[in-house]
Amino acid sequence: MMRTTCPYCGVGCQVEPEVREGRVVRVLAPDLPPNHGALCVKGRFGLDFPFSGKRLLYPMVRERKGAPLRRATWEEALDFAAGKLLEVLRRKGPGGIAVFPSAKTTNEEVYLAQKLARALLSTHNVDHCSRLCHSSSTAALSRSLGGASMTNPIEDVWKTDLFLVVGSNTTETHPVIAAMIKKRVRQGARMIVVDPRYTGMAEAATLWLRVRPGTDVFLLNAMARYLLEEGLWDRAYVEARTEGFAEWRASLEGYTLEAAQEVTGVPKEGIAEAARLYATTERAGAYWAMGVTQHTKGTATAQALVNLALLTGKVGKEGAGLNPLRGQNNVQGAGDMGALPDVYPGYLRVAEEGPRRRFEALWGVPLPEAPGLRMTEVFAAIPEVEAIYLIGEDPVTSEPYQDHVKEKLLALPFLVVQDILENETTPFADVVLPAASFLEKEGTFTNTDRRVQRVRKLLDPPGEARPDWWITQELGKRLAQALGRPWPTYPGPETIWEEVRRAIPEMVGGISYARLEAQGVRWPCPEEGHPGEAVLFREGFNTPTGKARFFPAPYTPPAETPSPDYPLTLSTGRVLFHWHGGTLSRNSQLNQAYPELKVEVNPIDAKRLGLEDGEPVYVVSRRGRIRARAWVTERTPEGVVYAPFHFAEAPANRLTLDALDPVSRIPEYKVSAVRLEKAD
Amino acid sequence: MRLKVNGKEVEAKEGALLLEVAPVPTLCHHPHTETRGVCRLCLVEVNGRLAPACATEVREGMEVRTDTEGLKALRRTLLEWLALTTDLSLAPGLLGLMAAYGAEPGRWKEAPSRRGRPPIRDNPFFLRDYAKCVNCRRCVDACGDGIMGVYALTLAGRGLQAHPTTPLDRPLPETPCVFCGNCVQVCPTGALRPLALEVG
Amino acid sequence: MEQPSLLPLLDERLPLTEEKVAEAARLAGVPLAQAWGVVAYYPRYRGLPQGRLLVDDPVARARGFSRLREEAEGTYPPLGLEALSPVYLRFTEKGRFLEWEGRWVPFREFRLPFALGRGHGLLPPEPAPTLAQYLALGGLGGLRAWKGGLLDPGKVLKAVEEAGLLGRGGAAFPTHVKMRAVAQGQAPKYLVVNADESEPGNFKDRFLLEHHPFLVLEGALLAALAVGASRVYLYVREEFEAAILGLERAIRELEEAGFLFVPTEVFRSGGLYICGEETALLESMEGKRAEPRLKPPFPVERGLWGRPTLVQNVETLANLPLLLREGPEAWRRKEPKLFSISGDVARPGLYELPLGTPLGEALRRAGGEPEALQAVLLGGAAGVFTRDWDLPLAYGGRLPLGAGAIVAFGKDVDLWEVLEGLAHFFQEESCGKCFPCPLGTAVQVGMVRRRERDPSLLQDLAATLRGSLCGLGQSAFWAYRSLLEVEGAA
Repeated sequence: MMRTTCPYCGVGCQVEPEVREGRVVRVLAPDLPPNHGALCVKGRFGLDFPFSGKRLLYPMVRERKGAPLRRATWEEALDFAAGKLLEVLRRKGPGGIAVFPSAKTTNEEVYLAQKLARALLSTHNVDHCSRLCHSSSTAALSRSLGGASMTNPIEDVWKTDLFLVVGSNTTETHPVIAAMIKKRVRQGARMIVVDPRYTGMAEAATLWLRVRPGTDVFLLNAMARYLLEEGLWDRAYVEARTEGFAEWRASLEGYTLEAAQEVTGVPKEGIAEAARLYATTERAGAYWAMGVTQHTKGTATAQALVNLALLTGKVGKEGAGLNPLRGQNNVQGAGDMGALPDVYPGYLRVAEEGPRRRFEALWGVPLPEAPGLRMTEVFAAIPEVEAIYLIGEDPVTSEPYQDHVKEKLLALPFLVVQDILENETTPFADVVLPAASFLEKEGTFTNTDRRVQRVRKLLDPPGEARPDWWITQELGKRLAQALGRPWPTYPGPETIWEEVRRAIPEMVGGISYARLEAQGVRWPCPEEGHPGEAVLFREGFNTPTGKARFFPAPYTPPAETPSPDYPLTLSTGRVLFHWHGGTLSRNSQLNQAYPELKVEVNPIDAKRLGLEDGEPVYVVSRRGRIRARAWVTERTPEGVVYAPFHFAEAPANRLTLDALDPVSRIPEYKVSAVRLEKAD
Repeated sequence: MRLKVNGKEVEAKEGALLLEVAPVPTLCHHPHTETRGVCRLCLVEVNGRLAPACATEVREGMEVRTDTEGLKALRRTLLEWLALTTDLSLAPGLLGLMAAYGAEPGRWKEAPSRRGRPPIRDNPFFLRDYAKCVNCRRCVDACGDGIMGVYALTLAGRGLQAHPTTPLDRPLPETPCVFCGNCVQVCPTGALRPLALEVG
Repeated sequence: MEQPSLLPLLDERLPLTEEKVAEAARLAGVPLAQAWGVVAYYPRYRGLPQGRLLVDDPVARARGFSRLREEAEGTYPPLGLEALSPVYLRFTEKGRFLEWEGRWVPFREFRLPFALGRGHGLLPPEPAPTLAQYLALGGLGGLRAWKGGLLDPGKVLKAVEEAGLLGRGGAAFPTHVKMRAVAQGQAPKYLVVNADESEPGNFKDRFLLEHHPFLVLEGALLAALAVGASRVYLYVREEFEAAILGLERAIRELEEAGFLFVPTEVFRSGGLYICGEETALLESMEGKRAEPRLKPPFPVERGLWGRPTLVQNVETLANLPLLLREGPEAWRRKEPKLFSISGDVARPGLYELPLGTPLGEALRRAGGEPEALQAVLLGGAAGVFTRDWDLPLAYGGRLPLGAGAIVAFGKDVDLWEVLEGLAHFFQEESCGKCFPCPLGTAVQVGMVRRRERDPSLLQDLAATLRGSLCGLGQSAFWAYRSLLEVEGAA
């Protein structure tokens, strides 16, 4: 049986799909890391999307705005796309184009796409969906520790005695890791869950702190202040391994337990107990996700967690650490491969000379010095940005404030969409390039704990669909010819990976395809004999001084707070059966288990509105309204409604607002003001 | 440490299970679940006493026999009884063992059957066909203590009629089931199987 | 209890609804799945049979079972009433009754007639339902000695060891070995008195519990003190309602008198034969399906809630006051053992005899003439048919003694019909956890019905049942095999 890597979420489960007569009839999991035989519903039953009737089967072009998309040959479509991009480049310069590689595609494909942007189009306008998920974590971790990933491996769950889980609905978004954590809790470990919602994790928690949405940073700061007051911090660690302590400590002045109780709604005894437990348990690991990051203070919240971990000496140790759970199958890899506007592959800074020289030498081209625009900034800059090469992404569903996004896309002069399935953004495309799914190509994904794993071809792509790396390479070939720049022809993904190994040997130099045959290998892995690093920062941090840095993490209120017209807080997120924009999961049998949008409404709010469980309801914000079915449940606290964002016909992001975090430029998906109206 | 298996000296690591050094068939044991000692197919004789190889750790100087006439009779008979009572048509492993042990279920003439249980199709993903269930409990464990901690499966009844069910015997979508299918993966007899296999 | 136990929570809510099951699960802090597995396991949570029921014990089987059965709407498993058999029960909405001397006697009022008990030594000459009566019979010496500082754990353990007291529940395991293991374990530790007597033919524990609650409690408390148990649980067969009431009264009296040195409570059993298996018993106390655990670990290491636990039979513990009073030497000379003798003898009853008494003599004491008998069933369902009248009734002999049941069968009894009852009993009582037992006991019923005598089939049945997880399956073929031997010898 052929082994490959699950295309959903960042856990990176190893799967063995059994293919009969061109269809996946059964999926088994081998006894290998990271999942050791376990899967969730998406990996087990959701690998049928490649057989959806909505697959894009041939290239299409729209010759001028207003004309319909028409079928084209690959030659036509690629020539047309290249011609348009060159035209924009000539007229607007490199700043007029942006390339968005996909965190759903392989490392090799991301690498090639960002190389196309940088080496051929001379732009660092490269970004990916991490902007919308963990950019806040990346920002905080990078500036404090000099690395943006989980510091500890997944299997450290078995060595952890206390889990601090903040804003992560792990049982639904990373189910296999959640199952491991819950089992560890059954074995006697304790778990503190900080979440406004009564999630599966809250249910399994030893201590659940029900914070008001968007107040986590206050809670975390108050925990730190309390520990400092009580002397429950690791002085030796702080002195030996950190800097910026005094300034940060001074910033905690107002974060008393009393104030925290007032702001967060969590009794101060609970906050103190959580702080005590975390500080006094040697092996205590912090895990978090979008509940932390998707706020206008997302970076501050992630930073507050980093500060707390440094204060108590939890970084660089087994069974502990700082562990952001990554959402997309290859979002870790996309960052690693340089799909970011400020860094090259390996997180080498665009603004620094050394990295630039390295890539200029490797690629044989001069490279620009200034960082590019972030994804959210690119959309704001339309029509100054005139052309976007968009790979495996559906911004109409995933960006905040949908109506605004649609306006922007209508105003965008040229859009290339490369995807495997038709989605909400495809109608806006000027060129549609049909891509191969994960079952139809070779390559690698990097999972949430930095493990590089193989993706293997089990089937031929349908129709004229082609692997993303082939498409990007063909497009690049045409651009390179016109621009007179070098652009090697890669016979396949392995050759691309070999170039990645040469480019960033300190990170993946030791990871060869041959080695990945047996099982995935974690970076950093500088040479062939190296086992791959499990726990980061055991000795020093990746900062110029080798020390980790505290940064003040101030609390600020959400950008939009409830008002008499919009008295409820909307929080958005995911559900077990669906994944992100729904492009994959809603074209799978998964959709049968969760076919329509349900919004969680607290019984008290429901009663006030005379709303029964299962009744249709409109959710209305200042930006639009959507229709949903009410799920009256204690899972969500009074005053808060929760809506998953997977449903194109009822897009939660029609309601969200495009207020951004000042550092990471992430949108505030977790807090907007709404009201409910009964629908008939 | 050293021990003897069927008269031959073998080397084993401390803490290893007899299963790892003794050639025996297994059914309830699975690397991903905590079920063990239930099916008794892996019974061996340790210094003359019966012990399940899946739940017995090696010890220095142990004398283990895996192939006495009594053990062969036990395995053969158990397989015959399973075939007599249960639909093993989708359990190739057990059918193979039956052939290897020369099982002839017919010699027992009659036994109550589990074959009459109708298949349950209550969710979009997999089938529960308890006519094929030997009650090894791997599914229940995978759902609960062993892997998921979800507890959407439990056992009903006693004796030969004991079999997996859901809390309150409800359709799976009305239980805490998360449809991870780990129960399906660990099922050794095809009693739990993906619906995709049915149409194909 | 360290954690709330599910079974009492369910019992309080009878008759059950889905909501009540969910509520009990919540209060016990267990998944609904576990609660449902429990409800779907123990018969009483699915509603008891109603109407007139025949107690289906080996004596009833020997007295023309099909005719007796015609006069009832159903049957009920053996209930320690073999000396009075055949017995009919009445289960109605008003409660459970026993038909006795033309009346319906509620379970909570029915005790075995005191006259059935014959012996003096272990068995006191008078019933002692109150502390005053127990004191009048010279009771409570052990606990007084403890109070007075004349006894300590070392002395008790030493005495038990020197006496060589073997467990009276059937396994005959040296009591001091278990006691010492628990004594060395880490607190908290527990003592569980196994009062779930349900082996067909046995009624010794029932008799002790009904008539001598203080004797049992004194023995239990002395053992608990000796091993450092923080709590004593009496796991009593739930049908023994009168015994339970008497024990609860006795516990209160001891507490008021200042002699309840270890907190003690009654736990109503799960109501199944398998609940007498010590690990299945512990599972049921923890609110789970009463299914045997894999051993090791043994309960002395990981018992109730994973703590070191001493599980001892009622009769074993009832010996402690006598043993300590008379000293190990004197006790050893008597080695008293209770034998439940029933069936075709003139005076069925509970006989206290020294271990080693020949089977024939035991029968004669009960008014049975061996030469007039076809065979006896020795040890119960998990026992053997024999006509070896010279057999000394001792542990470690040629035949297993079990807990001391002797059911005598006259020449005109169809032993195959008795065996069919036993086979049926095993099939009904198999918990279904391991594979050999539920399969083998079901196959065995068919074999017995058709009077199967093929030696190769019987040999394979035995070889396979022998591999069962616990004693229930392991012994389920003994009676069958022994009947063929008795037939062959006849």
